[in-house]
Amino acid sequence: MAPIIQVFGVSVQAGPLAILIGFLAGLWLSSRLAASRRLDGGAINDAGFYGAIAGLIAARAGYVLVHWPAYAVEPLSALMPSLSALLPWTGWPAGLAVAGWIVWRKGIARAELLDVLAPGIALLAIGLAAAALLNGDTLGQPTTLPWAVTLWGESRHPVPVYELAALVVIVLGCVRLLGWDLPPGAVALAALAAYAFARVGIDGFRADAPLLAGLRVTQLAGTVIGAASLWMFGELLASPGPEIEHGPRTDS
Amino acid sequence: MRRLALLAILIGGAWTWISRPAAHEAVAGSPAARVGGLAPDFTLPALDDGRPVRLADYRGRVVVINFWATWCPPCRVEMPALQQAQRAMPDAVVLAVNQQEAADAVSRFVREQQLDLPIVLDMTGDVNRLYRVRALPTTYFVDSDGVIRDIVYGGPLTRALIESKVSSMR
Repeated sequence: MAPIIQVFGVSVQAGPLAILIGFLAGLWLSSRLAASRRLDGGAINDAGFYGAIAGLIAARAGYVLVHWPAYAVEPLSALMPSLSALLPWTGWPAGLAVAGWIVWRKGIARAELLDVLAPGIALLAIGLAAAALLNGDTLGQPTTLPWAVTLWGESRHPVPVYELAALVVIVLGCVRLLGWDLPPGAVALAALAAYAFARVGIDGFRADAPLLAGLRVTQLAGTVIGAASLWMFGELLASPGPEIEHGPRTDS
Repeated sequence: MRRLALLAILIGGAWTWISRPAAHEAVAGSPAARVGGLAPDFTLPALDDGRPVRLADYRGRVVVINFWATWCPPCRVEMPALQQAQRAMPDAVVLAVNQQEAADAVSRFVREQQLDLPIVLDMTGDVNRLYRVRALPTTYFVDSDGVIRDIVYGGPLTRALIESKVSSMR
């Protein structure tokens, strides 16, 4: 656990740095894969960059509006650079809306886009899991296994490490599947199913997951999402490919 | 593939049931200086009169625990904001935990800045280690049940940020 690290003598928050690295690496990978599939990789970079900017602005604006009585006293403090004053519920939708608008305008809003985004999003998830590991946010169940980590005075399952390992496998699997002749959208569905089932398995070792009727919400959601993705993946593979219109044969 | 999806539901459901946490495994009540953990209790001498100040005595009130030192520039900058927030929210407690400095130096700084916050002295660094403070300033926002709801690493904090964090815990 190291929420603060020293970079060239400067204290840096390790969690946000890990998320930033994951985001940039994911953007780079997706744009590279897009180019190899004749999609506009530059448009993906634009969507990621402007989506992130819009998301951050909306997240700050949302936070300030929700806590306006506090900010009304000193409105200029709304401009202070701080990662602690962000509201995800306004940031994520705004960021995704701007990114979606850019890819729609560039004409690449197709199922193939989801396929090349899947490994990039998995890299971003690696950054998020690394941030959880560095911040000590995710708490595993107590265990005596040899690879246990000592956290808050007890040996526990290193849950973020499990998640990191699963995500690395998903990234590599996605890149491999993209080389296969699969229908558009199949790689994205496979990645979603794999991640959902990984969460079902891994979260069984978590000690701090939210509960619903005594069961972990993430495991319940993962089971439903994973099974639905798997079913859709199967339907996609079974469906006939796009029909090719055969024009009248012209004999010269 | 439909059969495989059904099998996945069965296996996923079974593992969800088998791995469900037992009641005694709940971690909400265990002390840990992390978001969602119970703020570890401590007792430290007050700067002004040396009387012991215990964190648990503030149970029932929102507590802002600020780890700081006079040699830390952002700590010095945010002290007035902490004081203003304390005055604006008298039902909450802002507890400034000074890190391993001589009482004289801290008193001089407090006089210069005209601070009247509750300041305690962590002269041995034990509370610093208990909370695993890696950089100054670090601020913990503890709700009225003694559970840490937010941690802000670094600074300087603004009065608005402090008040917004406290108001979201009420």
